[in-house]
Amino acid sequence: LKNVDIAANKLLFSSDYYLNHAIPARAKELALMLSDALAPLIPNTTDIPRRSTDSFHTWGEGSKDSSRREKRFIDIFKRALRLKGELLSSTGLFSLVLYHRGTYFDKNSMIAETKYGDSAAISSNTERIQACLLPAIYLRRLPRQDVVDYKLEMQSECPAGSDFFLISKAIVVLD
Amino acid sequence: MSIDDDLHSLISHDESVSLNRTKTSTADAGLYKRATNNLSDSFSEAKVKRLEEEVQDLKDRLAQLKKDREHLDSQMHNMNSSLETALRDCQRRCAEYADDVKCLKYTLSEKNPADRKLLYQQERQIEALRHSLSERQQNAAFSKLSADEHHVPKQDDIENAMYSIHHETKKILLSYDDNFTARTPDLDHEDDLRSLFGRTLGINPSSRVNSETLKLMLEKNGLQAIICSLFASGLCEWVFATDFESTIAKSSMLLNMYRQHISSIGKPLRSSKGGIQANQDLLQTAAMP
Repeated sequence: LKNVDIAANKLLFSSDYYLNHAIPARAKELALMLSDALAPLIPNTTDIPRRSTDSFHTWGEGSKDSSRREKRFIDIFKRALRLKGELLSSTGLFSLVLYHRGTYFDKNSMIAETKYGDSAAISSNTERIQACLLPAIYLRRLPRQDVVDYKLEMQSECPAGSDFFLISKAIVVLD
Repeated sequence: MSIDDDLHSLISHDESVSLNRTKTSTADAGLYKRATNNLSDSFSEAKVKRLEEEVQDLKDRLAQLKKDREHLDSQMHNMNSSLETALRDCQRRCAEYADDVKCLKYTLSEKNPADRKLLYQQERQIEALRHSLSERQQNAAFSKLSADEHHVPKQDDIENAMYSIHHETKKILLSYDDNFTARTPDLDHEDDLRSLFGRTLGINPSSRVNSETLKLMLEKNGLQAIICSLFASGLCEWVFATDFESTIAKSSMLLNMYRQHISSIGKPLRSSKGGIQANQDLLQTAAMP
C-alpha cells in the first residue's frame, strides 16, 4: 500500500499539469514573495509600494535587468520544486541541513566559498562558517514506511549516528 | 570402342580367313602366320600411340576445364559480394524512403482532411500508448519493491540539481552594481525577512534578531553572500519544508481516508481490507449531520 501511494505521487509529480502549470505558477508566486522580502537589503531599493504586482521593480534596476532577475528567480524556484517532487516520489526519507552561522566547518559535509563566490582555501579545521549558501541533503538508511509526507525534514546540524548518509554537500562562506 | 575390342575384332577376322585357307592349302600355313604377326604388331603400336595422344589431349582439356571452373568460381564470388553490398545499400535506402513516404503521406493528407485526421489520431494513439507503457513500468517498479528496499533518485542527479540552483543564485547580482554593500533592514517590520534571517542564524523565526549580530553578519559577508544565504533559507522554508504539494491534487474525502488508513497501518495489509475500511469511514462521515 505504501508503494501504491508513492507510485501515485510519482505520476502526479511527473504529470503535465504539475510540471507545466502548478510548478510555474507556484514558482512565480514564491519569486515575487522573495524579491519583496529581500528588497529592504538592497541599497537602491525604490519606494514602490510592497505587495504590488510590480514587486520585481523594487530593487532599483532598469526594467530589462529587473525582467532578467525575475526570470532567474522563477527558474531557481522551478528547479527546487522539481527536485522536491523527485525526492518525494521515492522510498527515501530525505533531510535538508542548512547550517547556521557559527557552525564549525566540516570538510566532509561542506564546500567552502569566499563571500565573492570563489573557492576558499581552508587553513584550519576550527574555522566557523559565516553563512550557509546551499543546504546539504542527507538520506535516511531505512526506506519510508509511511505515506508520502510533503514536508521534508529540516535541520540546522549534521544528523547524528549512522542512520543517515550524505547525498549532497552544503556550500558555506567561511569566517 | 576400346583398344582391346579393336584388336580382338581384327584378329578374329584374320583367323576366319586363316581357317578358310587351311581347308584349301596346308603349305601356305607358315607364311600366313608370320604375316599375321607382323601386321598385328605394327597396328597395335600405332593404335597405342594414338590413344596415348588422345589421353594426353583429354588431360589437357581437363586441366583447362579446371582453370575455367576456378575462374568462374572467382567471378561468382565477386558477383555475390557485389550483390550483398547492393542489398545492404538497398535496405538502407528503403529505410530512408520509408521516412520520406511518411512525410509524403502527411503532405498528401493536408489535401485530404479525412486522411490528416486519421494520421493525427494514429500519432496520438501511439503517444498515449507510449505514455501508458511508461506509467505501467513505473508502477511495476514500485509494486515489486519489498518493505526494506530503496527506490530513490540517483545521487549525481540530486547533486547536479542542487549545484545548478546555487550557480543560478550566484548570478542574481551580476547585473547589480552596488559595491557589495547591503542596507541594514528594520526587521521588526519585515516578517518574511526576519524569518529568513532566523533560519540562517539558527534562531526561532518569530524571535527578535539581535541588531549587533545582524550588523556584523551584513558587514562580514557582503550583499552577494547575504542574498545567496537568504535565498537558500527561502528555498528551505517555502519549498522544502512546506506541504504545498498536498494542495495540488483535487480534494477527495475518500482519497484522504485511504491515505489515513495506509498511514495508520503499521504492518502489511491486503489492499481490499484498506479499501473496505476507508469506504466504511466515508459512509459514516457522510451519515453524520
